[in-house]
Amino acid sequence: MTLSDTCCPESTQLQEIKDEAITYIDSLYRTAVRMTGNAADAEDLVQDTYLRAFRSIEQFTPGTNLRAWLFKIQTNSFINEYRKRVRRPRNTSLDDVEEYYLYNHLVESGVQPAKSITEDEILEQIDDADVFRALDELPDNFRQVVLLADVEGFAYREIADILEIPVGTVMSRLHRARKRLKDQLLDHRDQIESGVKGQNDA
Amino acid sequence: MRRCEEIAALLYQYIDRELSDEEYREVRQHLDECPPCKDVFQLEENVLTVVAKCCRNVSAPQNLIDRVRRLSAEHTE
Repeated sequence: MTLSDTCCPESTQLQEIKDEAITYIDSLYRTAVRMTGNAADAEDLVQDTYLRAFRSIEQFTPGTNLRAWLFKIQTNSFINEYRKRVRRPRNTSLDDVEEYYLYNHLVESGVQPAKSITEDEILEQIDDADVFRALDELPDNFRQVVLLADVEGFAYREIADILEIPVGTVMSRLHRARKRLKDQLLDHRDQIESGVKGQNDA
Repeated sequence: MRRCEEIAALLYQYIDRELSDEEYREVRQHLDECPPCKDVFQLEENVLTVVAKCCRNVSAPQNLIDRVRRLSAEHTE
């Protein structure tokens, strides 16, 4: 059932849906910032998302997930419009990246570092820039699932609908992307530990 | 009781609340009885919490919100 099939005063219901849609602007914007990599493009992407949503608002089925519907529009805009216009040299697979990181990790650490500080202490020392850098280095399609699952809290099924991919693909991308994020933050631990060691030696 | 490797395979589904009630209870019970597994799960959760927290700090700028409100009004007429 779409809006045009309902009996209620249509303009009131449409306005309510649009008002609710605007409450999700922070979610859409922060996702857009991480996907485009800059505030100006993110603003354009979000504005375009709302323009498309308001134009086709009558196709939205009341009672279904409005937030997921908006994310689907934004994702399509990102892939079909933004990505075609702005080409950035990005990977679409994690294979090379993972090997590169494993290699670097082994070379840099030499041996397994002694567990001199706790993981909680490491996490306390990780700042926003570290997390954003780690996220930015993920290929688009892997970063997208992390943002949808871990930041926006969508269920696997909802992410599968938004991205139009099977649930199994959502799970495998999420698994690999999270592993990669964690590896990078552990890499950060090595830096913190060598810093701590350096201070102790001095 | 399930072995540690089997529990580890359910790590993300557990964190994401995507397990059945029965599976969830099984993992919960294993973690209560197995400190090494509990540490692994806790670290994963903590990492994801840090990621989520710093991304959620970002809000839409007011001028964007104003522009979207104007778009909404235009499409009402």
